Amino acid sequence: MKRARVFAGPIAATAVAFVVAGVWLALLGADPLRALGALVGGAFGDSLALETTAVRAGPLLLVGLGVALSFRCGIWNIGGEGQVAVGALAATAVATRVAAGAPGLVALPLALLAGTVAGALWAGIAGVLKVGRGVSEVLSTILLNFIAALLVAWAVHGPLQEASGAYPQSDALPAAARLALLPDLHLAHSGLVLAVLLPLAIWALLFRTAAGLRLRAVGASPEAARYAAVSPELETVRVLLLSGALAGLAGAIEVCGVTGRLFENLAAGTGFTAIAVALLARLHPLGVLPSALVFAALAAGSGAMQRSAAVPSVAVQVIEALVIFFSVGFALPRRESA
Amino acid sequence: MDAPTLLLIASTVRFATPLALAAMGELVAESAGVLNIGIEGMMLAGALAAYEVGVSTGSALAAIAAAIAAACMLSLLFAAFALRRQADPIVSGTALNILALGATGSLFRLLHSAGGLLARAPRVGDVVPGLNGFTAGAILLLAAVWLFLARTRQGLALRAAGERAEAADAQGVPVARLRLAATLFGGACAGIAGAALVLWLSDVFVEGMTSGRGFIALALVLFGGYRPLRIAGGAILFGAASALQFRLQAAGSSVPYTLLLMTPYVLTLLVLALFAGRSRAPADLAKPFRARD
Amino acid sequence: MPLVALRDLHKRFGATQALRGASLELEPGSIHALLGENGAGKTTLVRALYGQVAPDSGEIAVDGKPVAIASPRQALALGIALVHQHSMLVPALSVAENVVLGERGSAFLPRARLHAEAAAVLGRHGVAVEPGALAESLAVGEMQRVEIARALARGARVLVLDEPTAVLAPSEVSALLQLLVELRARGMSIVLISHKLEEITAVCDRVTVLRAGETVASRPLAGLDAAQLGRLMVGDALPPPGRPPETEPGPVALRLAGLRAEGLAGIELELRAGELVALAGIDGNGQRPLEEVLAGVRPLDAGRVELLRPPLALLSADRQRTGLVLDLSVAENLVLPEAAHGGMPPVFHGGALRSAELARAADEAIARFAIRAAPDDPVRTLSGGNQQKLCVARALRARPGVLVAVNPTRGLDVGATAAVRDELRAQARAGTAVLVVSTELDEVLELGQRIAVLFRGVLLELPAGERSREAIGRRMLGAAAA
Repeated sequence: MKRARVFAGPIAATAVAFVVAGVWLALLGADPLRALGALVGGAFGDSLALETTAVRAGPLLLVGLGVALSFRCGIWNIGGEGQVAVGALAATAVATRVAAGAPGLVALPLALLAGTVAGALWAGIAGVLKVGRGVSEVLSTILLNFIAALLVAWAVHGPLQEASGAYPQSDALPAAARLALLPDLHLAHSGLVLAVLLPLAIWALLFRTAAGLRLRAVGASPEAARYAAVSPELETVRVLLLSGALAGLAGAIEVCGVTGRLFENLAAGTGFTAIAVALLARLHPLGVLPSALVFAALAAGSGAMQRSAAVPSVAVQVIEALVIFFSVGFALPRRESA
Repeated sequence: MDAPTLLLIASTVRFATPLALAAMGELVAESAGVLNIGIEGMMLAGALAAYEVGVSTGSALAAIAAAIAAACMLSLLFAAFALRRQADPIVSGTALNILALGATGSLFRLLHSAGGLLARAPRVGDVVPGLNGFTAGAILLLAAVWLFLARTRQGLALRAAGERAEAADAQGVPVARLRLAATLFGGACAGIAGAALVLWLSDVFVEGMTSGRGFIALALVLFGGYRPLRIAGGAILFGAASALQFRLQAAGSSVPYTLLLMTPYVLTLLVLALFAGRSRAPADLAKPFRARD
Repeated sequence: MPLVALRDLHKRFGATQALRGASLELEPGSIHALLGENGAGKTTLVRALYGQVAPDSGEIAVDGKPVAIASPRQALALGIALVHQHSMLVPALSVAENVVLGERGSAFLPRARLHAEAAAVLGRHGVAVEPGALAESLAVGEMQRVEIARALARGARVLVLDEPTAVLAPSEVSALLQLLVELRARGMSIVLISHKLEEITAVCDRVTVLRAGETVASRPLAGLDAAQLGRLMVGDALPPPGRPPETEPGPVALRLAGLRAEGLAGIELELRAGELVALAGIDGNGQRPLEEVLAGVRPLDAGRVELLRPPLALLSADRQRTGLVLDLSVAENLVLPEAAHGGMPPVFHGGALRSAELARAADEAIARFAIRAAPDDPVRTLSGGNQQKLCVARALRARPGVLVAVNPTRGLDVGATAAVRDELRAQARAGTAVLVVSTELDEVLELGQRIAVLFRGVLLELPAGERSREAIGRRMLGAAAA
């Protein structure tokens, strides 16, 4: 029975958010039921829609895992956007410049690794600033988001710009650095396999290892953890590195598996949506999977919603925010200590 | 003083004013113990409201009023979750920013789906030659906030609510009410800052036009050590950095403009790294308060 | 008709029934003792009177009229003031600002008026404190005086003091009790919450006894002696006060040499295996810095901690903030120190947690220390006594050579207090070097084979022949040898 109650909150939160959004859409003159129908159709209507949804869920899942992990440890990593961006940037740089002629066995893992490391280091900056200088990670990760976006902009207008110089985007990634599609599918790439396995790994880390116990202790009470010889500083940096790595990996997968090249605003909004994903999942690693699907469906269906119900796809962000509010207000257990 | 320098000073003041306005509001909120990272979203909402109402009525005053109203509505939403339900303020503030980004974006597109040239919003001019209305307002706000916090009975009660809410409550101070009022005030200031963006710095609305100013304002409060005059000084510093950066761009510097645009953010990080650890926030900041068990 | 009457109050907090039919009636010109052991509901009852707790049922009447007191503001308006157990001054504000806080008056408050108002209040009640000083710079006794003066200035007719003597030296206690007697003569109705029987018999004229949230007695004090009060409080005869263990101390296990840090001004101490040394002292004289140094969370400016018989286990003073992680389970808290070092067998194996071993370890600890909880219960839901027993279990898992316990029985009821003290004595008898730091004089006398007093960051050794409250009390205030 306790299990069922755990799901009630998030389900209620999503439902209420949709209802409120429907009312708001109606007030703006759009047809909420038609919009909802278009949304569902665009997300689950046919096999292509399903693949679109799955592909969109991938990065949300990875970044959402990282956010859930860091929030649970009391670290407010709002820098998913930036970490994804530098991950994509690093993967592109490696794939198109450093390992340009390398075979698939080398190029792809190298690109993914570069993205992962870049994301980790980007988040690590916030970690060092927090531990070394007492800078709130909320502010530093958000500022780093802006800087990362500008870094990508600079790269695609400059050193990484495609050879023809026609558009602000990178060259297409060589085939060796691309993620293979899953057999018989058109959009879903093999990176999704990783995305599905990681929640389990993170769950095991959090609840079945000494490292996970340390992280959870620091999140619940840094002072008590310190007295038990656990270092909140060390765990802070570790969790930021790990969550940044997950986001960086997501960025690399996005470039290697979906877009095939780097451009501005690649996967924009993923970082923020991932926060909603993590909160709806009540910060539980296993809950991130269904939660990511919900938001992916929203994104996948938003295009259809725009086409057939004339509702701008940006409206989806409103639904996201509403879900966060209702999750936070009614479903999320509040941490007692500061 | 020669023309380029005068221009630089004017530019500095133009960039500094919205920052100072938002930071003053946040100072009052944080002094009461409320950490509102949603002022970015409130500023954006204020900007949109100011633009739409300004364009349709032609009145700058109505535009500012609309900006305040929009920002205050978002403040109420924030208060409902962070204060009343005692949800985590960071999460609530982040949700608010996401909401504002989405809502302003979608509203703007809906209202201008027909396309075509955007109308210009009415301008707020100088009250005294060289001194824009918003800047004058910011200076008055600075003085008023200092006076209120440091030299009034209510200001003392507010500071006590931020330092040690249970002690203030034990002395009969209405902590919840003060925190709500402080939150609304902070939102209103952010709204006015947003209005300044469309009624002075620019004259149209662009999606996401706040570009992190709300977060810079948050950093300014820390940088200024919770002292109004120092916060204003920080705003001027940032204004100068932005002004210089534009000057460099215009002068055709060899540095790519994308890197130059990073200046305010990198500067903020630097400032935080140097000063954040040293500033002493109100002891009960961001801690939920339950009046009666 | 009593001045204030609380009748049959009930209050539940989650799973705990804090009040189950508590009553209290107050007359003017009286010092009324509210007696009960830790956890009996005394604080909850007075917080209900002060508007900080909303009773589930029951009635409160002031001047014969039923009232609903919904906030401290309303309580103050009715003339009821509460001086809390822990200082309710705002540390970062000045004394003057604290005194004036909440007072009605002109909106505009320039420095001059602020200080004038504060000086008037402090002067009228003879509190010699600098109005401009920050509240956090005052000694605990001074803070209390300021709070009492403040309450009187607000026109209180009823003054409730919650365990006011816990933080005072013996001579300061006398001064406070003297003040209360003067206030009684002026018609004030005073409620003195305490579990210290000597104080109650010294000045109180009436007593109400709470046991497990219920009023079990309410009558004039005349004719009751300490033993009878004790029996009313606990429902049985109080256990006789314990005595320090009898052991043969072995080699030096812990040496503190010239410890200097913020709050420590040169601590010198040698602790031998099998020895139980108790450090007395008023809170704020170095207990917390010493604890933090021994816990390894505060760096030393000078001096050395020589641990000759590791490991050192620490029972922290604040079990809820630094002793335990409230949101983790009993089992997880038990093994947390082991997780800090990558995890040690048998519970951990190469960093991974073995659930079966964890469950076994938790069951063993629960059985051995009589902890009333299940291994998966969040520690937050445990009572204070069970939380403290869990802290003890955790500390002893490491098989320490040196055990340091700071205020080990604070907030515990009589039964849990006895259990913890017995365990400390047992550890000493088993050869562990035990150091107890306590602000409770009785505890120091009951446990310490050797006693020293912490005063302003140094230790004043107590000669063997001077084991008395007076001798310790003098040193607590800094006076050296008699």
